[in-house]
Amino acid sequence: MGVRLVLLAMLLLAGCSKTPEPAALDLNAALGGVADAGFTRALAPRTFQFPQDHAAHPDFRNEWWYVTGNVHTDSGRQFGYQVTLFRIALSPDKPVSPSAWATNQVWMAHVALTDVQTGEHLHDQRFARGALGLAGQSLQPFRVWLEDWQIVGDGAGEFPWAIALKAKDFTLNLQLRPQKPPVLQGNQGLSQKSSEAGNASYYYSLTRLQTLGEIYRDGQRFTVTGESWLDREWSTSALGKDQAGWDWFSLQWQDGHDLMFYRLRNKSGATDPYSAGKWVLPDGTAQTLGREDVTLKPLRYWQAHSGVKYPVAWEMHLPQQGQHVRIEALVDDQLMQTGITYWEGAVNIRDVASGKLLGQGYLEMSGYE
Amino acid sequence: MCTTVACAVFDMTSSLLTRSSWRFFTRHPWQLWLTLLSIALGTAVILAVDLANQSAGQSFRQSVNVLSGTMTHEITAVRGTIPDDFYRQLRVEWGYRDAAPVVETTRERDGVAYTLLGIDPFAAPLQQAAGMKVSSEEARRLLNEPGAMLEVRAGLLVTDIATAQGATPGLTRIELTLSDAQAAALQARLPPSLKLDSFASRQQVFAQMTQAFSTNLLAMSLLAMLVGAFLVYNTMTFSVLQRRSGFAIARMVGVTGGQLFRHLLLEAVVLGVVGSACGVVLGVLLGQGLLVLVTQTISDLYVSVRATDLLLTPALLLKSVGITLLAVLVATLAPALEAARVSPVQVQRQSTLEQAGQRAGAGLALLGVLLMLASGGLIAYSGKQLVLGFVGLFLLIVGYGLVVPLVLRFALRGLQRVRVLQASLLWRMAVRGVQASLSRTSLAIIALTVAVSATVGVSIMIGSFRTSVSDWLEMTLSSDLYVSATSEEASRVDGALNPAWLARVQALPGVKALSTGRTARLTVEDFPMPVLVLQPSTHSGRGFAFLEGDAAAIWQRFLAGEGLLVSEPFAYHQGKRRGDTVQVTSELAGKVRLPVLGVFRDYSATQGMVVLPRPLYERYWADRGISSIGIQVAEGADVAVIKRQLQAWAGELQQAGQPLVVRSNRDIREFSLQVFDRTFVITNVLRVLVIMVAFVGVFSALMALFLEKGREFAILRATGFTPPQLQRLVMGQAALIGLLAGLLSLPLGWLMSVVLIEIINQRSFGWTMQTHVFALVPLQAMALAMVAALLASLYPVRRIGQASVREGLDGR
Repeated sequence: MGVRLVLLAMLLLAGCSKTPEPAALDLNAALGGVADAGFTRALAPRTFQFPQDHAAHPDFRNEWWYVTGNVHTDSGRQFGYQVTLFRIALSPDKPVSPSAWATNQVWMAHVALTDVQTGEHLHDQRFARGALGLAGQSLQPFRVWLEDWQIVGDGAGEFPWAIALKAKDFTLNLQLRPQKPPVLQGNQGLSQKSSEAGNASYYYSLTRLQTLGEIYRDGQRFTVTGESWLDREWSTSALGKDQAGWDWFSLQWQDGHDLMFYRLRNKSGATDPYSAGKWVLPDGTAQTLGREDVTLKPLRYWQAHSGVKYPVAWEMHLPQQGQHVRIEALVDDQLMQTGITYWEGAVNIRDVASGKLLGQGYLEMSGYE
Repeated sequence: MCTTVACAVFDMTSSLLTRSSWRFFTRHPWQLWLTLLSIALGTAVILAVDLANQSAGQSFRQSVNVLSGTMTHEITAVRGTIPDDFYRQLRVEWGYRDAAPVVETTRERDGVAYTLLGIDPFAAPLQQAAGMKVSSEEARRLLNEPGAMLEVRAGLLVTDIATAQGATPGLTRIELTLSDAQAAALQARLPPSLKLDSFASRQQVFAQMTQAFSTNLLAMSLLAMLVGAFLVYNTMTFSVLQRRSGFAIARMVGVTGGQLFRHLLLEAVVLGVVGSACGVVLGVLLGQGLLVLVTQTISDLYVSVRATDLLLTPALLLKSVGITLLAVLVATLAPALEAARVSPVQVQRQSTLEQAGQRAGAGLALLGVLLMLASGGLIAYSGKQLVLGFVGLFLLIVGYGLVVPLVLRFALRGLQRVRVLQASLLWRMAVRGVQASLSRTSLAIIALTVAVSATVGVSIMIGSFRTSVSDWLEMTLSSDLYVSATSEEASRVDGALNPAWLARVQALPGVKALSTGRTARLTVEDFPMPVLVLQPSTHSGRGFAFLEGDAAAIWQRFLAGEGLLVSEPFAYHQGKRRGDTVQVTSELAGKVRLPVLGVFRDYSATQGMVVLPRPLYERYWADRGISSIGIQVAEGADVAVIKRQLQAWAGELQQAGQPLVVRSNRDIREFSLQVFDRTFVITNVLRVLVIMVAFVGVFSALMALFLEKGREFAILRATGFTPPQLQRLVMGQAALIGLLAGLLSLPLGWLMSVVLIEIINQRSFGWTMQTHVFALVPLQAMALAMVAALLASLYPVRRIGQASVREGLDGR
């Protein structure tokens, strides 16, 4: 998913941001600024193969496994969660060194839990080098891990996948089973982010993953079920010069439709022509959406302590799909105050006319100042 | 209270006194400059030594507390390094996430030794990890460019852990933040090959290591201060005494004693403030130079540190300026009180003063003798206390100084009675002249005596030390060539030689015998201690100088693996003797007690070292590695050829990332002596400073004395003395003063060397040495004293040649 490109683009920018540098050294800033020379780039559509493409593509500079989901207990208590593992290559080749610590791969993980009932948003982050078994990825068995945070599949690299991680304030033990085949985003999986050749990623999604498991927090155990979404993306690209940020939607209708749409924002605030998405039918077939196929209008803003305002309620119009909906955050403050700040949170979908609840999803917003 | 009339009178008289002071100093500019100079020098020396000491201490502490202050504990390996995978286990499986792996080595870059710290930037935020400022840009470089190093602080390079490791796996330590409960839990599950210590204990060990060093420096600065105080006192006394007649006149025209007293104190404060202000500037400059020397010494002796910026704190400034001002005031107090108290008529007579001074001489001498006795007692009964040892040394110096005036009086009286010399009128006049002015010159003579004796004492100490070290090196370096995994420059413990080396070296033609050594850091008496595991060759010379016992018998028992050898500093600090046992924490059998077979002389490790025979080591430890090979070359074989072959092999290994050093015993010897000399550069510099301070004092005292005698000289000229005769008289007096100071400095110098060698050195470092007396030292001392005195007489001598008799008689 292109959104995450923003995260990394911000890594690049953090070094020269106007905000005073924090006293503690910012690893995010340190991780940015890796020149793209020598890395493979996404220039043309390719053939995707599964489960092989679930595994890492270390020739590309950046890659992520991005899981978000909405789950609830039998009694109806709702939670949103996010588990993201980022792989960042610091150089195209592994350094020539006999040391077991030597690697060009760095891993970063962001995890979050939104407790809708209490209105709390808990989050945590970690960094580790891809060496010595501290962090990494393997296919057989499928496993992506950063220390003891991990997503594990079966021996053949197939589903179900299990998420097992213990963060500062919560623990997740979830099992994911896909309900639809992978959706190749963009042009057969090539997701172009700006006019510049190679400023693109390979990108596929599993838009609907049946989810069940347990969430622990404050000494309480919650047995939950629900639906999750997986985005897989790898690239060696950056934002275009003009692009400032990003509003990204991954939405699941109760009637079986799914929508991925990212709106790239230019520095002027206008929608970038490279904004795009997919409308996924209940049978798994997908329709490509261009910038003109989706109209978005912010309805309500929430202001963070920093003074930055994030639109936490939106009106979305998909004329061809006959959808006119209001998308609103389940909790206003779902700000990820990790090394880089962005808003990532659970939302619901309601029909604008009737106010009827149509579905749920996740929204990510970044690049707001 | 001050009524209007009284105030007016006070203003008038005080301005009168101010003008008289002004006139005095403008007419005697030399007096003014020298007074200011001696005050400035006094301040400068105190400040400079303090500055260098503190700044070096700061960089030392920084290097000790390498990672951030938030870390509370460290895990180290009982022997060697921590396996890399243990870190993963600790962090991922056991969940200790406040943990940071560290690989610490030394690295040479452009001929300078650095501490190289390999860290994992992802384990602990970089800036915290290094405890220092790292910009994002620099950190980015560190992360992105393999092999990049940041010089984050003088002498400290930080790099990625993989770069620091190279081909050698393993971690030096893992730093952790733990609560006491967490620490106890971790301790319980740690394998026996690893141990957990709190940082507090590590810092303590380092603090102990360097305490002796900084105490020594402090003592040097105190000595400079003592000499400086003598001089300031001397100068101030002199400037008051010279104006006695002027003050008498002022008293006669109505100036009260109190006014005079206050005025003199005020004058002293002004001189003190101006002088010490110059001294501060001088001290900072001097401190910069000293700091380089001090850090060099610390690097040689303890850990690699580099000179950082001077830490000029208000406290340091206040201390140096305060001490100077106090000395100035105390020095002025006595003459000012005296000038204020005595009746105007009496004041004009010099003789009363001289007589009073001579009466006081006996009392002072008695006090001096008491002080010297107290010094002896203190030294004898202060055990291992270094500071008390220094207090004793200072009591000795002060006591001796107090006896000097009485000794001078007797000496001069004796000289007058020497029949051969009585024939010479000039001689009699010279002796009498010195005698008559003792009240003004004796302090200068004391200062010169103390300064010269410090030179004597320190020279004997360093000379003896160097000879002992040289002898010891001769004895210890019993092999011709040494191959080691790391250099001996830093007293570091790591690195293992590839075992293939042993066979390779053995097969070399011309090699007679091999011995092997293994350096390890073991826990001895619950302290981490460098240990040498020795497998001597059958042919090898012993290489140890035992303090007591039959060397051959000790050696036989050592070869049989019956026990261990400890170095003299170890024995001193731990209170162990031959026949005692020491507790060693072993790998295979836990804590064991091993007998001490002998105590050997050693100047290499100040905290002490232990030598284990190989069989004994292998009984209690699983390690079979070696870190160095000693090679004895067969007679007739060319050492240089073998060395070249070894170096060629070392070159190959260097490329494979296994640094290796090949050195001949001569290389090591030369290098060791070089380090030795470097260590004492600072001592020599301070010694020169002390001499300089004393020299300025003597110079000013003598010059003022001779200039004051202008009228006396004019009378002598009028009664028929020629200028050359007078010049000889003055130079004779100067030489006599120099001679007396030189002679008096010899016994004190010798006493000081005894205290330095027997008390200070042993208490500082735990080692003893043979005292060697060098014929040159007393000659140098005499020459130094005489040259100082004669130089001081040059200007007055020139003046005598030019002076007109009538002007002199007029008192102009």
